[in-house]
Amino acid sequence: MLDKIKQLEKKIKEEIFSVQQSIDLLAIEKKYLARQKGELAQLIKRIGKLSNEEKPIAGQAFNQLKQKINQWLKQRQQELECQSTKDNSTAIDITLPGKKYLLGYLHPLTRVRQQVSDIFTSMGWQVLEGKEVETDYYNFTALNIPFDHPARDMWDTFYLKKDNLQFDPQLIKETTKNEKLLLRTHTSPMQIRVMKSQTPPLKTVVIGKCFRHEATDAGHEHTFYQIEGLVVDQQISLSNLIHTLQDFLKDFFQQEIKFRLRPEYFPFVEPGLEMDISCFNCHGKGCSVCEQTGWIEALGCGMIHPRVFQEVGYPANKYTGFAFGIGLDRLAMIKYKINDIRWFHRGDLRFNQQF
Amino acid sequence: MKLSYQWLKKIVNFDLSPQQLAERLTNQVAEAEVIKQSGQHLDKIVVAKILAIRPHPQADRLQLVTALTKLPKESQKTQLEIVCGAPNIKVGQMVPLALIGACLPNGVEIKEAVIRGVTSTGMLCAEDELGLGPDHAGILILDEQAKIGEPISNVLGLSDTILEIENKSITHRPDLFSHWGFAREIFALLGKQFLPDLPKVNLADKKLANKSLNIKVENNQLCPAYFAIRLTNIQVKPSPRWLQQRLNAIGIKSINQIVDITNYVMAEIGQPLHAFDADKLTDGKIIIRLAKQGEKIIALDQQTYRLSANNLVIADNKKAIALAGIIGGDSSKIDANTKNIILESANFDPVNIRRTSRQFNLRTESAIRFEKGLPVNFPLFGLQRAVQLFQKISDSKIDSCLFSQTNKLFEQRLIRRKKILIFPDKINEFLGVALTPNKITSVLETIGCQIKQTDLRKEIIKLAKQQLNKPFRYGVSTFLDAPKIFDCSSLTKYLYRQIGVELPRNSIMQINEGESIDLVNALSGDLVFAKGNKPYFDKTFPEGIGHVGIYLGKNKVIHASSSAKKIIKTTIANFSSKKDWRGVRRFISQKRGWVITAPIWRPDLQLMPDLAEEIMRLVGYQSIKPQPLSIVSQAVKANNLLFWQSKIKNWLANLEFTEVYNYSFYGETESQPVINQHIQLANPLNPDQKYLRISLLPNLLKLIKKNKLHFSQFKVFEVGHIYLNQYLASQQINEPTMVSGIIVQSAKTEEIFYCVKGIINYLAEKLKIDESRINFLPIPNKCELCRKIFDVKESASIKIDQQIIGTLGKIKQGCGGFEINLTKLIALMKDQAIIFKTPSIYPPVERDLGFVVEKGTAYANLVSAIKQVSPMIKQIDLFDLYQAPKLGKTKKYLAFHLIIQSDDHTLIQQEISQLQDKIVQQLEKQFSAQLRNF
Repeated sequence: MLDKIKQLEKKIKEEIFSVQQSIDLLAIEKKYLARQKGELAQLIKRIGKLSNEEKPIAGQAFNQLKQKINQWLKQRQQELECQSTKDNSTAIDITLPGKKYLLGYLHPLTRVRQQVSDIFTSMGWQVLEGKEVETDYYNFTALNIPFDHPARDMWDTFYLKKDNLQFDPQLIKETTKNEKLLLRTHTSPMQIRVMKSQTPPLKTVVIGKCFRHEATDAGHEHTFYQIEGLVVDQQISLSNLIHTLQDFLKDFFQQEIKFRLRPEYFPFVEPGLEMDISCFNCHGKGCSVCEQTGWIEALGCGMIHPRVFQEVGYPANKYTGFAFGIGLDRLAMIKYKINDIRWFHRGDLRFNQQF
Repeated sequence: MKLSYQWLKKIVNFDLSPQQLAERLTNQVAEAEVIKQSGQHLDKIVVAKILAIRPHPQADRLQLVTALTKLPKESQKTQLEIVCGAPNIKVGQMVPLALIGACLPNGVEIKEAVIRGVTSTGMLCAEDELGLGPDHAGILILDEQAKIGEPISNVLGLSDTILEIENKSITHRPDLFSHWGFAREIFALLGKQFLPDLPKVNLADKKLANKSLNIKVENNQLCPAYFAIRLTNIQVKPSPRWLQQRLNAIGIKSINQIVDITNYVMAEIGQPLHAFDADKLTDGKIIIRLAKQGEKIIALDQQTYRLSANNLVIADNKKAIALAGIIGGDSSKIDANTKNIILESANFDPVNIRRTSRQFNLRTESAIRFEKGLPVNFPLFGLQRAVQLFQKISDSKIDSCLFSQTNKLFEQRLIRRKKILIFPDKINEFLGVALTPNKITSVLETIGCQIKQTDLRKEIIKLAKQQLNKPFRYGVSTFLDAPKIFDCSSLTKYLYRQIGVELPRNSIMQINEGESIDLVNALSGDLVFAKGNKPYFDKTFPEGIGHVGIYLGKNKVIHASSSAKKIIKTTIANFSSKKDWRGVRRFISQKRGWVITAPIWRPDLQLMPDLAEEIMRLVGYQSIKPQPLSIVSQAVKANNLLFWQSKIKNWLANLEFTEVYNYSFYGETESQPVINQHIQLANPLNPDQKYLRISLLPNLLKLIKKNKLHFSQFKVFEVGHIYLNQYLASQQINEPTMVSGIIVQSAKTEEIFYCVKGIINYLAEKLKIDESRINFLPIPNKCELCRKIFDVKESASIKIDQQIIGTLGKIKQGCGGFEINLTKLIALMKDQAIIFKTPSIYPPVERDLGFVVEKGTAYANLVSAIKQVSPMIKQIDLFDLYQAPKLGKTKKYLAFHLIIQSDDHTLIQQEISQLQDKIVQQLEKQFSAQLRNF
């Protein structure tokens, strides 16, 4: 029986590959595979009569044959389709390259920024940028980080000289002159500016350039970008915060993100949390990207501190809200697998033109 | 900060591996990481019992030892022959035996050795050989209880794991800078409360009552508490091994018993201590005072520090002997001859410590603790613990009565605890969870909080009644004077503080904060307000408000009365006349609440969210079920600048520009010749990043050289802020957003100016800014930086309406660029209404006209002259332009392609000819242009 199947196989293969027109393939298909009268249908009847020992072996061979026939039919069909164009001698070579149109490229941080901005816009958030030069008050004091507080160690800061500034005549010089100017170390001063100028409900995201006075290496830059989220209303809860972040990350990375939350101290939120996401590279097993921890620090967040509400003049106990800060650079690095943060500002077009 | 796993384990006895512990701490307390495992190097050194000792047949000084031990991974004990030279061994002793293959801390690897003809299969070890200390006098004799075959690191407690805690994540937790601090947290994680054995040391020996220390706290503001005691009969010698090991494990070098004990107490409970050699103090005196300007001190690090008048020092009668709370002085340090010490345990003002520590860049272990504001119970507690240790490990004796001085505020903080009012349903709402009251209670209890569930109004009234008849004085302190003496608002503030509600200090602020209630609806415990004798005025109360009392119900009030000079109970009518009545305010939203008393070591617990955090982190953040926001959606107005910025980026990319991001600063070369227009960084990272940019172009131009190797031609652009030295009325720097680009050509293909101008035209068209609004002018003289960057002859300023918004042109051979102030441009954009015009149904006519004009005649002027001839001229395109000798040296030729079309009729030949003649005449008249036929 097995020999018989083998012979049949050889015969059918020859037949299929000698066909020159698609329509003939249909005929072959009908001849062998038709349900009732096809040759294979006949064959299976005979297999049914075999002994119990032979039956399974022959059955298996039969099934394989059937699969092969289908495969060959498909293969030949494709070959014939290709040939039909080849044969047309007047046709152009459609595989030649098209006319070259030169392209420009957007910076990866712009692409990510745009994506982030689109996600939040779609959720009905206001998108802002803010100024990069800030005052000490907005960058620190108003955010519950008084001048002599040890928490200031968390932000190494670029300060500005004020000696050649031209002051608007409307300003009371003495108070403004004493105010220190600096390059914002985070986008959080915009929390204060937004809350001082608007009343809740607020759903705002600020995306912009920030600066830290620190040496650069593969993981650190003195110039970087932050995404600041701010939501204020009556009865905003920590679980809202987590939902928002989860939603955002899922949308951004286009997949369900495994994360963990752990306590972290930021003076302008309470509770303060850090969100780690499961390492993309090793999926939590531990690798060099995540320093063997399985987790990547993704963002800091928390519930807005009552002292911050007090500072912006909101009535006590009326509102609750949350805030978060995400490194835009970090998101871009994860998304595009960029191994060194310094690429972003190098201006090496071999980098920029990959995006 | 470093923590020893073994040390913690000794305090808590938990069942977690170092990794598990680090993970739990990270998830629930603060970022912790396992950084080091010690003791592993003593791998093949095990306990052996000496069974027999025989003299070495070949050498007098050597002995042959039969040692019984157990080899690693074997179950049977083995006897080994060891050659040993130490004189101190006896049969039956337990000793450390380094097996073949062991590697000693000093690098020596143990091999089978033949010593004077006898084979030794290992080595018995002395203290120094195990890296434990300097002793080489004999073999280290172990405790008799030591188990044969046990690794030596276990026996000696050398195997330990060190956890590193990220200091910045516990900035707000001064109580956590110690092993006890973390032990308390671990207990809480396990659902238990840490109840440590407090040292029971009597520091007030009656026999020593008249032996007082000569100490003077001159500045009790910066030194709120100072405790000290004198110890005598001090022997300066190494600490016992356990103490050395504890310190070594966490990276503190063991020095001698005295210094080690102070360091140990700091690492154990978190209180920094200092020991002075009592005999080195001039006149035996200690003074806590501010330094004199320019006063010098040689510190323990052997550096000399020149002090300022705001540094707090510990001094003797002559000189500073320590920089308070930061570092000790060399002159009073413990040395080999020290016999008597004065042990200091104090509390210093955190701000002062922080300033001084930063001033001298002395970030000592002591300073990083004091600057966080240590709990008030620490100093005395630390001193007791230190004395206890001295008594335990040395023969030293207390030799004075306890010196103790605290300021008033400190005393109050010692007896009074912070109270915080919470409502379990509010906590659940805030966190978005549903914890049971029992769960909340148990968590708060594990961290040492006391919980009192109470009827808030009853509680307030009960407390108010207790204050009756107490004296009145205006302007008293709610903290130091209450509850002995009050004014009206300090009474209400005090009463509410007792139920965990913090009111503002004065009546006008109190009335502005509470919820307004009609008198008929007033409940006991609400506050009632009147004008009073010394009213405050503000917008809400122009008629004045200055008195407050507490409402008891039934028209009765308790208040601190300035006229009665005491706290009295009276009727509403007596409290205030109708005219002076200012209303009722409510501060209690629910009848029953939980008044939480925070433990003394948790100064960070101040408000409801602080407690919510404690509850949630201990319950576990992972148990929160995320809930979507339910804010009503409102239409969001797009930010104009960001909207157009993003479009422009895309358009430029379509024009083959690649976007780059540059730093916001550059150096002196780039800022010339207008350095003074630049804002300078006070602390640049390097001189090339000293000035904030006022143009994006300098940094863009730097990219040419960088990319030359790989690209012969390219176009790049950047969108970013520049920083002008103008401080605006909005209290911000004028910081417009610019878009700038440069084009680098490989060969001179086109005139670069027109190349760039085309881009500006393209953008204008995209932005629907009508051509008629745009003008190109020579770059004005005042734009000095533009004149430096651009080739002035082949560049222009871009003007829209009346405003210059940018510059474009040639920068150098083969390179052109532009810079546009986007902020200004966007502001100039008018409503983008596009109004459709029906195309004319009448046929257009095309005409070509060429003119010879003076070279200096501007194209734009010719075009506008042509346009003015008739509105039927729909389109004018330049299709030829040249200069040739045959035209004359000062002449040029321009040819225009015109499209003429009427909206209401078909043009006839005559009409067209007339129009054409008119154009020719007009140009001839205006520009002496000559028509030139083809």
